[in-house]
Amino acid sequence: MTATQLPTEVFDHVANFLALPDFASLTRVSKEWHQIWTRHLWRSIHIRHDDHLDPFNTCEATKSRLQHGNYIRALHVCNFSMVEQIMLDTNIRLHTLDLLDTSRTLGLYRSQPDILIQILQKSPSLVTLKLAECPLEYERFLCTIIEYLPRLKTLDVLDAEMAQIPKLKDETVKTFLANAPATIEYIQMAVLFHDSEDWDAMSEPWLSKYYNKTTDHPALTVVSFNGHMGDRVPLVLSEDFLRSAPQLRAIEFLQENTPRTDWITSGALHDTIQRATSRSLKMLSSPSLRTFLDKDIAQHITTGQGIRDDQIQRWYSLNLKGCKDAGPATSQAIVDTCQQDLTELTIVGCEAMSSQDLQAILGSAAHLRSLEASCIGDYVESCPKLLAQDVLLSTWACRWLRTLSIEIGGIPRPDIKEDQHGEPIPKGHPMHSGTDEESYVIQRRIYRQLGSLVYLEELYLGNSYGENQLNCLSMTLESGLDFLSGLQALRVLGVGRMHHRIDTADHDWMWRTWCRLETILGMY
Amino acid sequence: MSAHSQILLTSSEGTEFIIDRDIADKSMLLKCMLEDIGEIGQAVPLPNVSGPILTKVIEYCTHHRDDPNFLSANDDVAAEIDEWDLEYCKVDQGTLYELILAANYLDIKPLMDLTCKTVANMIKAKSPEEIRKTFNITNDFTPEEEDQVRRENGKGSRRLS
Repeated sequence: MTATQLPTEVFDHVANFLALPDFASLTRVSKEWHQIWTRHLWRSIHIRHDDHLDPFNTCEATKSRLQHGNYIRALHVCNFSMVEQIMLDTNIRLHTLDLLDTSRTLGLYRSQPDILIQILQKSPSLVTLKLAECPLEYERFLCTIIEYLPRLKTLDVLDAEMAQIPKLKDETVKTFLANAPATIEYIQMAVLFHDSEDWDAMSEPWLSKYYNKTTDHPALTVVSFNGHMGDRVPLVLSEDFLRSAPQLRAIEFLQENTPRTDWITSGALHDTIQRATSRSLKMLSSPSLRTFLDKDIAQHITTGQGIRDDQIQRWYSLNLKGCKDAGPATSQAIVDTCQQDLTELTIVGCEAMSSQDLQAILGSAAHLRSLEASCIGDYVESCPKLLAQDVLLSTWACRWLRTLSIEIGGIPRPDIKEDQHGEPIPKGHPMHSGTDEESYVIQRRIYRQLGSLVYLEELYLGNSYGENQLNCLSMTLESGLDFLSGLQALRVLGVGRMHHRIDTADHDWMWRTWCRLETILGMY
Repeated sequence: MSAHSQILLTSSEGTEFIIDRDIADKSMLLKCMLEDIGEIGQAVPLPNVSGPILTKVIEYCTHHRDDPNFLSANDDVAAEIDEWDLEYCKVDQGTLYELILAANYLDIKPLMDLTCKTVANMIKAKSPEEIRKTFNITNDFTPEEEDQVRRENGKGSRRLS
């Protein structure tokens, strides 16, 4: 028996485990497979600008959509009436609803809050819900999530215009957290609080019926607030809530995009975390460590943790910037002791750290939110680099990463004929081992690895100082760039000083696919 | 206790298999059938499943016999396949497809997920030519048609928007 004899329903099942670029390849295999797999290209719809609507509204596209509408799983759209139309036309089981910046379309879901609520009520299979603007009836929206979305894993309501966020009561945020769907893994929300004196003027208290109820959140890993929290933090993040979420590792507060780690490592919230989970979270900063030897840094990291007075001391943030000697022993110490609680790691300028060391960290520090390994801001002499041969050895564990700066090298690039000084690259140089296609095979596997980091908002593969990268990713569709299509949170991509081959088509693809992209740094 | 009772199955060639009831219950088809008609002394015929494939299916169900998360085991699309399952799927393509059909027919969701995931892993991150090689498929597009399809997909991404 051969694959071509399998019934269509089997292919539909296989499709659950594949990504969009895989379907694009499959439709090009043969005429029959073109027939079988084309419908899966409907899985995800991206409409970032209203200009993208025209091809979507053609007779042919509409006919195809009505025919294959039940294959639609993800909508990344700026046009709210489009969502409404799709939801009405077809019986779809949406997994992802991502409403982009709607200001261009007059903020439809702000002006018609009922429609947003109705769409959520019709989407019990939603796993990911992202809104670029807070809904006007914020509390009602949160209540609908509790009541209608039992499978939700990711909630992201990040509003860039803080001034427009409808205010909430502390009790409301606290109640929402306590009653969020049991499946939830990731909550990112913009918050502004009412001052207690204007409580009377508030809208209907949708969540009041949940005030004394709670749900356990066994999978919740990240809670990220953006806004003005002030002294409300301990009120919202209660001991009971922290106990109900034993996997919760990263608690973030962003004020004007600057994370406030000190709230976790000292003060009232630190004490609440300590009481609820018996963990005391700490941060380590580098200036005093810069002259230390590798083994001493490693020892400092290892002995800084452990049980003291019944409390488990853990590193929440490690900044080893400029620790030139930090190498194998340091990375081993991180791998051995920081798998669970470390969320921020800076190893810029740790020149003794090898590619294997880096790969070991990426493979074990499961709750990292930020990893800075290459220099993106100020000048640092030399940074650790990751080599292709090591990336391909094992799978990364750090699936929650929000910010990653790393140089990935060691990729054969037969298309590059001259080095950074304009000298021809000699025959037999490792850069030229293999054909273009063989280079793409390696690149595709690296893109896949990177593409699994679906929470990435900032990805810096290039750098702002130092040598040009020659044996780096080409960043073209031909080399497999489309395996990064899952990076739907990406706002910033850095490709500075990389010998990339991004052309117009690749550039267009990036802006069309990454709906939240704001800048590509170092294109030229 | 019914958990200790045994069920008789016959494969397509007529070979008889005696299995424990709790193993048979891993198959929603058999489970429903046995609940509906009760335990009959006669063999349950499975005309769509050959002896060697049935042996393989029973091996899977027996290994996962006491698995508390049996039904939700492979729900996580991105999760890695565990070592035993990986080893289990190291069979020739023909056998793998027969297993998929058997899992589908007998309605054993975790086995269906596992085998389909294995097929997906044979496809992932490959070019059309590599996929053709893997599945031994002939490219029947003319160069013009191939060009057309490539354009339709916009160099690997969808072209609907």
